[in-house]
Amino acid sequence: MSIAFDAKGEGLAIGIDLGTTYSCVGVWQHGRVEIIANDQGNRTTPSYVAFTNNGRLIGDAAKNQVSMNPINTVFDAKRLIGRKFSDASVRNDMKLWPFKVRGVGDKPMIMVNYNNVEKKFAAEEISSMVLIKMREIAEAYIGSVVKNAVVTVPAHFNDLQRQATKNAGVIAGMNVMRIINEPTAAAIAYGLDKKGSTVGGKNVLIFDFGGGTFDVSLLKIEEGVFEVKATAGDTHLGGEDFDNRMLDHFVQEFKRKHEKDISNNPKALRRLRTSCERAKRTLSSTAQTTIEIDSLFEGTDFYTTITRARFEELNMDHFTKCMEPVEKCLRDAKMDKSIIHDVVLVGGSTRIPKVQQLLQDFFNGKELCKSINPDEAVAYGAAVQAAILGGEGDIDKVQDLLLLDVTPLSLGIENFKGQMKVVVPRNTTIPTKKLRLFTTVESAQTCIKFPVYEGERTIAKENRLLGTFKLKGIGIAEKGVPEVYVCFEIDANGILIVSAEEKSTGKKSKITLTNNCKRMLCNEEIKKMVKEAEKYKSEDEENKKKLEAKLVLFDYAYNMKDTVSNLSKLNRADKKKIVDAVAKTIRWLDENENRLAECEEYKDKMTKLENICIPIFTEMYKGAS
Amino acid sequence: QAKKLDPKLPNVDNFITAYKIHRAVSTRKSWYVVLGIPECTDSKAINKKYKELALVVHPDKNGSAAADGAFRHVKAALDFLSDPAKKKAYDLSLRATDRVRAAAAARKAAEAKNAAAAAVK
Repeated sequence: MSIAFDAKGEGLAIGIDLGTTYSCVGVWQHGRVEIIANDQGNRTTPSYVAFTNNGRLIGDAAKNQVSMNPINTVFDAKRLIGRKFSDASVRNDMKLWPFKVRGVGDKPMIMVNYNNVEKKFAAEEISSMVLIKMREIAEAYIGSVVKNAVVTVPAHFNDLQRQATKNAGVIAGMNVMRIINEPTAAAIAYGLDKKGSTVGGKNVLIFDFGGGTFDVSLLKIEEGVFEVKATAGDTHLGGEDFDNRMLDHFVQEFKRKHEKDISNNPKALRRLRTSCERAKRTLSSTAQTTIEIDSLFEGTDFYTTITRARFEELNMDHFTKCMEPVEKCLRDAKMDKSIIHDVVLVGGSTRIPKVQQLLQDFFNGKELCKSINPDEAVAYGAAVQAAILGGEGDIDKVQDLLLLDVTPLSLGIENFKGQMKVVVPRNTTIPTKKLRLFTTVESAQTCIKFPVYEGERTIAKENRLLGTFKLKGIGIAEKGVPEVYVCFEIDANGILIVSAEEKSTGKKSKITLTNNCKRMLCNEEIKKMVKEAEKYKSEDEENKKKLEAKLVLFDYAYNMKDTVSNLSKLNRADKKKIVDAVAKTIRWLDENENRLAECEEYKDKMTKLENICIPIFTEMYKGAS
Repeated sequence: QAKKLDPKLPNVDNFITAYKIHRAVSTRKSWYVVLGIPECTDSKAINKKYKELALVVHPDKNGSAAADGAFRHVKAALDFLSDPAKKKAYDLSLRATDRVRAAAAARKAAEAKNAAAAAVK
């Protein structure tokens, strides 16, 4: 009868924070949220996917090998998802990425070499791989299959980026119950245990500054109802940009000191970038740190120091840029900063002292709220929302909790003068449905074209075009007579459906905008990707088996080598026989180090080796007894 | 009615609330009736009622087909009534119609009384 009922019997629903640099997963169990650690024991997992000759790696394993294999290790998929190849931000990012990106019909595709074959992946596919990994982490912890998930996106993500994220979930074979905004999710983490103290309402500003995106949301929390009043942000500003600045700084320094340019060497750049990320973190707690990389480039070592002040100077424009959305958010919500009860910090970049200081100064020295874990809060809130939607409503704690979120950007239609005619203004509570009346501008006009835009500019062309649709077959009439109702419907995920209807003829036209847009994936493409994802998964399993077979052989060979060298009872001829056979096996393993052979091959080698060793040992023990 | 048939059916009250909202809208009752509160209630109480209703009729909380529309109507009512100027004008017009209605009723009553008196004579 309801979603809540359907979802039952399909296991627990999880909440996934799909981040630019790191992802995190949580589940509601036994009346509370558990943030789940991965197989390495880490509670956040790098959003990295690596393609190697030994198979595909996701998460920590991928990030750990990145300096060895920079061009086939993909990250930052969130900075590509739902964007056009021709977008300025994509162009700029491409210069910094070691992996290749190519435009296929204005859709950016990531090119990698996997098993010696050139492959291309959409950002959705890379994100789906991360989602699969997060699901596996959850399944290992829960001990059963997980089908349903709530996935978070930055509040300022546009329609296309949301739809693309949802598609990533489909490709991962998951049922994405809901796409929710990251700051809103964090607000749940903040407000869940404060229900008693929110009588009369609390105004809370969530400052969510992560690895790749920046969001500010203003919420009113009152007795379990989380009502978003306004939201603002930048989908392309985060910790990574600070790393880039620092990287740039050190590349210049290296050039100055050693007169060598490392900017065309992906491996050196990657090693330097990893050190920069580490240095950035250290600088949040110390005033100065060192970078030491042996043999960074052409045998030259790189030792240097960086101070917090220098780091702040490098990124000052980024930091000051963060305050604009805060102001805009307050303005949109028609609230004065003095009536904000709490300013909540979320995301790793809020650990930077300068960011905290600027924010605190803005709020006239108000103490910032650091009571929630900045890395886990978003996944925490997503897990709570998953529990609400998954029908675990028998638990009082989540039953009377409700999220009322808003659209981050105005949506509208370009009129014949090229102006943006707003249908749904930004910060409208979702789900929503708005009707607008349009008419013809010429007599006997039978067709109207509706270009749908998203953004705040008054000239439509300066906003983002989401798609265009046509209503044909309008009854012939004088100009301005036909009445065409255009309906914008935004669902709870923030995804837009537009329909139009002419009153007199009853002609209808309906589209989910994103399906109509060239750079989005159509259903067939998604189906194909789902199949491929399954194929990759079975390949991973196959590779795992191969790797295990390889290790068994490896262990056995070295074991024999050890045993034989310690045995004095063995006669010389037999000993040589075994040593030779083992050496041969080890050589074969070395030769094939960069390639996984079939399971059978390993098993074959194993049997051969055993057939040589076992009879000799049996003989020896017989002789001894 | 459904409630009588199976009192154990979960959330029936919520479903009924959603349908009530639809009925209020379709019969062109005032925004106050949509929210289920007395006319000309002050904005603080309106906000409170909105929160209460949102918890009941938001599609996340209410599985009935009516939930989506009901939530939008409630939100529309709130949006309208939280504009102080609009609310004031609306309240005035409501009062005016009330007065007209009350006057009409009084007149009718008086007429009936007169008629009754005439009949007695």
